[in-house]
Amino acid sequence: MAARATAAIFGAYGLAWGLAAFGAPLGVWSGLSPADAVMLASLIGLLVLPLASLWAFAVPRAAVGWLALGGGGAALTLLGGLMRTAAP
Amino acid sequence: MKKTPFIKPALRLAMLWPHTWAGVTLGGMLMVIFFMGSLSVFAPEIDRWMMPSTRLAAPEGPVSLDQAVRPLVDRLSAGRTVQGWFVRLPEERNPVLTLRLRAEGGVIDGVASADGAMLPPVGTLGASSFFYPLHYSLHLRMGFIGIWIVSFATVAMLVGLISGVIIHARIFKDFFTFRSWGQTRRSVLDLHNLTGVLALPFHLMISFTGVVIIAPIVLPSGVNALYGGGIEGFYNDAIGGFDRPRAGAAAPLAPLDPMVAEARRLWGGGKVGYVQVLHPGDAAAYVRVSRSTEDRISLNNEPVVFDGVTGAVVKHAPLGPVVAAQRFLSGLHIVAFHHWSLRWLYFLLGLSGCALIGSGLLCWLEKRRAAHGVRAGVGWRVVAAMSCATTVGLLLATLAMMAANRALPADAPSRAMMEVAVFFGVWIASAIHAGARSAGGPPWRSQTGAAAGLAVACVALNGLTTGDHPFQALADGKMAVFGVDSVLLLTAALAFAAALRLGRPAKGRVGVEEAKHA
Repeated sequence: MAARATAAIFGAYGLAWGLAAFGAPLGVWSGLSPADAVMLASLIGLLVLPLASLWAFAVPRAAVGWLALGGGGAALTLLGGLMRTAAP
Repeated sequence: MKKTPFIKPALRLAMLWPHTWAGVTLGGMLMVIFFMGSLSVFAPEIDRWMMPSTRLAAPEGPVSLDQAVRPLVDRLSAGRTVQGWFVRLPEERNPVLTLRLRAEGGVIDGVASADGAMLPPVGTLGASSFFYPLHYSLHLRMGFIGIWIVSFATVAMLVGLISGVIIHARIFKDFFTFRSWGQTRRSVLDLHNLTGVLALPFHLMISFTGVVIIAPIVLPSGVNALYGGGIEGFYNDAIGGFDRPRAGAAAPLAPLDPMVAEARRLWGGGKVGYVQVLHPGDAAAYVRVSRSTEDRISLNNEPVVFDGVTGAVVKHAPLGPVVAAQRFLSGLHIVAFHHWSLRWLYFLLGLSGCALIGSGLLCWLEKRRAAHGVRAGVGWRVVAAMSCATTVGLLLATLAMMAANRALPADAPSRAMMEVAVFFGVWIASAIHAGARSAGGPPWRSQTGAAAGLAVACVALNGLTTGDHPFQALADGKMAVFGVDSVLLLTAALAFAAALRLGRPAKGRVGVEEAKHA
């Protein structure tokens, strides 16, 4: 249960973090103003957060939950960083 | 009963653990957030009650900044250099001028009537500076730590709500089920389901919009990505913030009333909410005029920034669509607009959130007691004491603070801090009392009885110290005072009835009685 609880708290927040970090430059790339892009990405991150948190308890294996949430968050953050360096 | 096909029993089972433990661990915190949030809906009215000198009639016309406000600023600053000042203009619910000056040697606060007459210091934080900040930051300001904790609890509330819906099989039947008789355990579960299902849309809305208000602070990765980590930079860009340093050269401040007129022209009507003047007397002075949002749901106050010397518009940018949506969602949470029936509904639904969380905690306690028999473990006792301290204890602390507000002499030194000390002192005392007595169940009855007494004392003290007893307040049209007094009396009646009922050993409460003798 400890693995699931930590995945639900830190893993889910990591995913939300990644969504906002990736969504903000993606929004700018698609034509939104920076302020709108940041706000939209943060709102989507916050909408996903409680659902991702519960999914960590529903997934059959705790490790899969950790991998998908934490790994997904890290991958999205990385992608967001790459987009920023690629864009002028 | 037809089973909902898309929720598998395994999923329902998996949702029980997070639902239970999010509630048991954070229920007390959520109780504080929901209760203080419900009170904050009526913060201006409670302020009038706690600040008798501000029980004034609403101003009739607009207030002149040059004729009424600037002399007050000069008087308050008393010759010291002012780095900036802020004034909130009077309106119906808040009929006073509230001034704050940042001057050499610190902040100076002042309150004045709409015609520019200085009022004595209010001597209290009131609801707007005590109950309201407690709701969103627990008064832990450093590094936004309180905001982080409250946001964490709010996401846990959303987790609890969503998992509750999944766990719940008979969602529509529970609209109509409340068995208040018989076993405590069953009626507590019914109450939990009833408040959870009936007010579900409100609870989802209020929890989500609560975190939406501070989204860029608690989920800063987007801001980090595009604004180099600076939250001020983001807000300046998003909601029309503006900043520039002092020039160092002296220049007189231009008249402010023409700026207000220009701002109103740009808005196409509307009233001014507040005005900020930065670096007055300096060549880089600027003035921010913000619109009152009392006639709209959105918190978009359309600030217009003027050059303080020339009076020309420096910045007036409309919001982007997503930022405007966020301002709307924030306004939906804060309910600062004029709509009395909706405001009462928010208050009652907020309290139903307290009932939802409280009955959830009770549910767990009763179930555990049934499982363990009369021997209560340390964990059970801690949750029992916490449940008592965050429900009745919190009510006691609030009422004690309001009573202290009316009982302390008006000129007592550090009066505001003494009220805060009473609040926390009573709260801690109630928690210790609950902890010491929780072996056989928390001291619900004695604390509820004390709350009834305190609520009556509040009304009596207000009548004695200000002369505004409920009938007088009604006759004088002081509806805020009348409203607060009425809710206090209703609280007293309900608490008294609850204390009476708790004293009567009901069926299913045998366990409590046995435990008391054990």
